[in-house]
Amino acid sequence: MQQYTSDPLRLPPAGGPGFYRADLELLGVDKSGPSFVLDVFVGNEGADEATAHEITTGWAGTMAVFAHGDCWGGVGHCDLPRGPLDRFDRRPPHPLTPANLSMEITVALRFLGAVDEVVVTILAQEADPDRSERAQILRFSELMLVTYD
Amino acid sequence: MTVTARAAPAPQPATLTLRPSVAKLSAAALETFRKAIEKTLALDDERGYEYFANWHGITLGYCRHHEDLFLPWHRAYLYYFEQALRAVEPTVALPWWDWTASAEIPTAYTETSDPAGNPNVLLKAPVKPWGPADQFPPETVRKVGAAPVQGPPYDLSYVMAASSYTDFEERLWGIHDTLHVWVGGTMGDPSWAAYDPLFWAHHCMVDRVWRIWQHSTHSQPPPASSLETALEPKGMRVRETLEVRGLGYDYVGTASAVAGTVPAAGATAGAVS
Repeated sequence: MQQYTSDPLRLPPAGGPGFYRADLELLGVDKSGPSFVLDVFVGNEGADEATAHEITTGWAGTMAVFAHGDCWGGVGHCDLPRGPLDRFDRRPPHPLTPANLSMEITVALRFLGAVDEVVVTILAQEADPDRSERAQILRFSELMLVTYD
Repeated sequence: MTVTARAAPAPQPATLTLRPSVAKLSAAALETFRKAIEKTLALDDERGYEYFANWHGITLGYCRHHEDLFLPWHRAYLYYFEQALRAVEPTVALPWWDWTASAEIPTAYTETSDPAGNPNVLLKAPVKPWGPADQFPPETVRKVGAAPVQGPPYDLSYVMAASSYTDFEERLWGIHDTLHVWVGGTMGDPSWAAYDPLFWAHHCMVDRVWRIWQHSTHSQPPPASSLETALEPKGMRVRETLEVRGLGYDYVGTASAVAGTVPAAGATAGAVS
């Protein structure tokens, strides 16, 4: 199991108008490998596989990612990613173009009470327990916390 | 030289295909569905089951996930696959698996033989993609419940409450991904998922949920920028996927029909009781 712990993410100032919704957005997620599962916790840096999936532990949700799977093509088949070559290139984006994934975490975040920042912990594991685990199951470029007020 | 004029085809009334729940399939309708799968499995060309399984994963890989085209692409995909089934069994309709109502895979997809004692073609299917196959799995397998995710039944209230297309699609693909991973095995890998006959019942349900949300007053179309996008490989545009009746099918709970005042030239297709 891979554990990712974020740097603190800012929240709207305590005592302000607050927010009616909060989304956690994983940007540029690499889905070129096998399917995987993410357990997301807020305000619990020590969360691990033994941590209960309850709001009191900061659990915000579990997300399964139906990823691309192994490459079965020839050399270069899954090289990342080709974009449009020019304005005449009408081909759709390469299927391995990194994805942006979103999870609404409003309830879990509110449960933390009046805090100005929060640390997000993500536990990533292979969906198929018979697979030998990769060192880096979750690869992404940025984690963003968005609130709406 | 002899020239033979071909008779103009008699106009036929369009018939709507009513996609049923697997749980409500009559024994006869299930047999028809199995026959359609069996017949398309026997076709090694672009009319066949393997050809359509190729669209999704190995080797053609046209499927779209985690983006605006997820729902339109899969709706068009089901449409073309259903057309292929109806070419060999004209009354067949794709059934959906209602994973909001049951914690189990429907028995139609898990029993090892059909009532006649033949192998159940919905249990598994051979994996015979085009191209080099020495490392491909020989047939589909499932590892139900092995992944650390919640299995069905799933509650759709959060999905259906979405009031923007992006929210709705993201919430629905979350359940979609989870179900794929929960079934596991080849269903948990896009390369092979569409080879499993269960794939079609799962995606029929996803498409049905989209249809139901479209009935709501707060539903929205996909982003305008995507409406003219042509979906690979047949080129159906996103705009064309928005109205299921325009594609000749719908999802119903029940449907009953009685004779009218003139003989029916074409009955409503499907097997809904």
